[in-house]
Amino acid sequence: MKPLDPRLLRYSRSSRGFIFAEVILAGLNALLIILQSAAIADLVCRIFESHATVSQLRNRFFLVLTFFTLRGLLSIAAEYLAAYSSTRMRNELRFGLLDKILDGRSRAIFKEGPATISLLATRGIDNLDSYFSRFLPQLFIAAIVPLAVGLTITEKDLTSGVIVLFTVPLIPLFGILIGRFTGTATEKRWQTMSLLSGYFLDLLSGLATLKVFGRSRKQEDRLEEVGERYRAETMKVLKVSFLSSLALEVVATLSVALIAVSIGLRLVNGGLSLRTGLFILVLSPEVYWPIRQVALFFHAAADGVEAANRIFAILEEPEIVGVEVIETVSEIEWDQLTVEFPGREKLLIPSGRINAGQVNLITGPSGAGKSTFLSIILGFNDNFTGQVRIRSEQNEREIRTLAPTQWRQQISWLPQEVNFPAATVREVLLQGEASASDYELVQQLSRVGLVPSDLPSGLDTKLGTITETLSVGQKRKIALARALLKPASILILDEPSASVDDVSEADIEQAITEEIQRGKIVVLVSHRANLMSGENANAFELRV
Amino acid sequence: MKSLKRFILPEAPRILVGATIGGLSSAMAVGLLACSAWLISMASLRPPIMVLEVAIVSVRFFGLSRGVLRYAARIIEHNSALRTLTKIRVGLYLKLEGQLPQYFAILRRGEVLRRMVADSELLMDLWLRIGNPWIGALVSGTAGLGIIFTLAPHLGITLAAIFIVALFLIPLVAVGFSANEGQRREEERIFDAIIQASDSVQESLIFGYQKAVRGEIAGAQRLLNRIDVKSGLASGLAIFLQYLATGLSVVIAAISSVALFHDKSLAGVNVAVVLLLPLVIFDGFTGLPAAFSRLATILNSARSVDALLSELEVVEGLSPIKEPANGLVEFSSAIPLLPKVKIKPYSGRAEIGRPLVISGKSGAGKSSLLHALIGFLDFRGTITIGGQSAAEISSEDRIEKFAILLQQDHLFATSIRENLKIGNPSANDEEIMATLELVEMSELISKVGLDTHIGAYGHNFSGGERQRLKLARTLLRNRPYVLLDEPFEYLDAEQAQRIASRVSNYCKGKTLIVISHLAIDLN
Repeated sequence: MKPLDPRLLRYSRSSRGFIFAEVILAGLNALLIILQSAAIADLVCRIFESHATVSQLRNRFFLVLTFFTLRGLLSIAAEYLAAYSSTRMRNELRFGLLDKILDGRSRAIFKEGPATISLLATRGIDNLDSYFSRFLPQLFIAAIVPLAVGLTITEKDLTSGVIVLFTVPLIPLFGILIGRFTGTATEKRWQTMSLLSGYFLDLLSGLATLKVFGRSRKQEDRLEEVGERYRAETMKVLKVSFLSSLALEVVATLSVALIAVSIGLRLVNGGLSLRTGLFILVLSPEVYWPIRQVALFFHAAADGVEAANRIFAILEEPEIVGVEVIETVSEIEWDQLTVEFPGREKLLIPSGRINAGQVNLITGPSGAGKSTFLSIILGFNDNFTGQVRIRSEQNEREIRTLAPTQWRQQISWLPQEVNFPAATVREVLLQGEASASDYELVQQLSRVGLVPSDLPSGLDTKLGTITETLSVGQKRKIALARALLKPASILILDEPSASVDDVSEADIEQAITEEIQRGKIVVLVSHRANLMSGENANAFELRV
Repeated sequence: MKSLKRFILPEAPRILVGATIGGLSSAMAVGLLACSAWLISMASLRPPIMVLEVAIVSVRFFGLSRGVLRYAARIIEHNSALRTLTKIRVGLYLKLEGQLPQYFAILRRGEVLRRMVADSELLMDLWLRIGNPWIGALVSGTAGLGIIFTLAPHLGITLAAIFIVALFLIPLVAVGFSANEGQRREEERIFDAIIQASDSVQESLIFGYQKAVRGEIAGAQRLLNRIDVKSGLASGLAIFLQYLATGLSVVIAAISSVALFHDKSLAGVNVAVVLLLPLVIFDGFTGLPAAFSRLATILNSARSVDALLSELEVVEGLSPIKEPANGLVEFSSAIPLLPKVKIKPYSGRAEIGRPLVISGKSGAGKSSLLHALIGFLDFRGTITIGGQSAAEISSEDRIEKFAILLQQDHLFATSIRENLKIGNPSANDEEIMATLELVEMSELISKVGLDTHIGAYGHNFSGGERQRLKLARTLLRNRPYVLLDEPFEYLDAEQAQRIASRVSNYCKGKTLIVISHLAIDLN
């Protein structure tokens, strides 16, 4: 990302006002710096050269104090603005990202996986704070203050102006040179940092596994060793980047020293007044300071910039565009479909058809593409070749031309891995059918072999919390009940009997049969040949 | 913060050295300004150039040494920060390692782990952004005030008073007016909501509750916004104080130098020195307001890391397992103890050549029974291993004799070979491939190679493939007792039965216990 990415203006409306306000603030800041320096230089001269008394200087004391107070007030405004705008801009990006994903037209969640998205929407966006509230304001200060101060110096004393003119470009020049030299190194630094965090995270996630393999204690030394190695590597990279700021700092301070000495020597020759000399002395660091600060803040903002790049990439991704509407689906038919996976062989799904009136059984060994096929039908994956035709009594549509939201209203689904929001069992079931009464909910649960009294607090049992103690099978039954509750014409069940006992399996089979009799298109993915095997089934087999 | 101190205190000397050197670097800026001010004032009196030589050299010296010292300070600071970070990580790991796996299950959920990792990293800010800069401000301020004191003692004392007030008032204002720790905890709430939302986004789209999810996030976010803005205002207020203190000091210095200059106790050339020094004395505060306004966040992290390090108690071992064991594992009316959940008593036995299949309703406590067997859960009733009561054997010793497949087993983000070698570190490639053959994975793996990276959380492989890799890892461990919790999940019935028969054959001389809701024939 460039220091000021045009995509930022596009995706964050409030950034425009922010940038405008920052330019004004930086201008006021430059003005106050110049006035304040002049006032102080003047004060010294009046005391030292004109032997002024306190009463003669009273107004000037107030003037100096006023300038400082004004700069302080300006800082309050600047900090408030930075915090406010940073919050606004981060919100816009966060909700831009979330809305795109929750809108159901984005492919990102399928491509990137939920973990990446949630990481970007949380820490990724928060890391942008230092970019918004520190780096960007400093960028404007660095663009305006050195220019204004440099011009003032040149106007007062051409020699100092020439020194500034020749030394100031050294800072960005050094910055670019060293940046080019350390660019890869800095990148590596962020990589090692995140690698180490990732390693630590992975280790903690697998602690139970390590423990049952009796390997958990052995990891301690390894963790220490890896930590030590990363420290050494990070330090190597840090040394280079500190060295670059050392170079910048030396350029800045030596330039100030050079100006001071040159002023001193010309004062001796009588070529300059003390007032001008002091004025320039106080003013000269202000030329270099903001530029150095910018480089410093840019490093601190690197994390956030990385996140911003990835967020922009998702925001720029074209959406699923379908607008067609279809109701009461009677048949789904597809050609041979090809799906590509990076690093693996492509997946071939042979042509086939599913319809109402009988159970549609999708079988196949693990890795044959059952879940991928479902993601296509659910409208989460449109990255395939071949056509999927959806038919109703009236018309026929290709799945990619359908409006995703309306299409998904036709579908009810039991996912392979259930993820509940933090809610009670009742609330989760009501997601299937909002108007259902408690009596109906209990009935649905018993249809899948779950009695509310088996749950710690019945329908009020909390799901999706840390202290939840339900077994995998119980959660799947709740999710199945929710899927049965939704009045949709297509019912997709991914392993409905996984982790479920044989008694409940019979219940589930019965429930599925009833749904078929009601005219629903039931798609069943199962490893278990015996589930629904007694029925007249439309079997569709996938192979590796 | 007792537990945390243990990790930070050993580094304290190095941290202090770094901070002092950092302070000296800022003191060089003080020297630079003082020298330049004197040089220019002196020069205006047009003395012989000789008089200025020393000042000219000093100005350059200060200019150069500032950067060099800063460089040294940053190296020392970062070194000790990273070293402490490693120690804290190892400490956290050790602490957690000593816990019962129920706790691991909690840690795997949502963001708890990621937050822990981030929290431990944020700790470095405690000295890199707060502690050390504050000490640096103190050191450079003292240097500047020292110079003023030698030139004008009374003025020096007055300005020192202002400086000390600022040194404490600025952080206090920044901390006091910014959000407190409780408000900061809101941040975690919104993060949780977002993570929930992205984890369940497909379900929310099908069941149409994504609007409710968004509304919840937006609500939490509004609260968070107010907190962020408040912190910005707090740091602005603190910076205001810094400018006010600087301005006051300059004016006080000016007023008193008028008098001192008149009664000749302050040389004219030093007027500029005394007047300009306050400008740099307070320069050391730059960056502190913003850092201190974030103190609540950092302390929050520190406290949660500290709590993790101290609250969890390491479980002590019991007596060792007796040799030789006859391979009999027996449950009689065993009831695993879980909070809030009633589990029915279970009886059953397994011995060499006679595998035990534990089946039952979901939620009946099958996995909990296994956890009780290996000491991850307490239980009532009796469980014996080789005739010896399980309760008398330490969990570690039990685990040592078992090859276990847990339902929540994890594949690590490394190669297939490394993952399988966790089962048996000395296994060679042939042994690994032979085990993969058992679970019908050898064909795929010989195609892609053992060096294939598993992908974070195993996403390069399908559910069934991951399950079989985990199973192979457990079988590779080669222990007298084999415990498999739902080993055939995500496999079709035929494949499950084929693999089950092979596994059963492979475990002929071992005691095999399988938890499965599937009707599996092990003979």
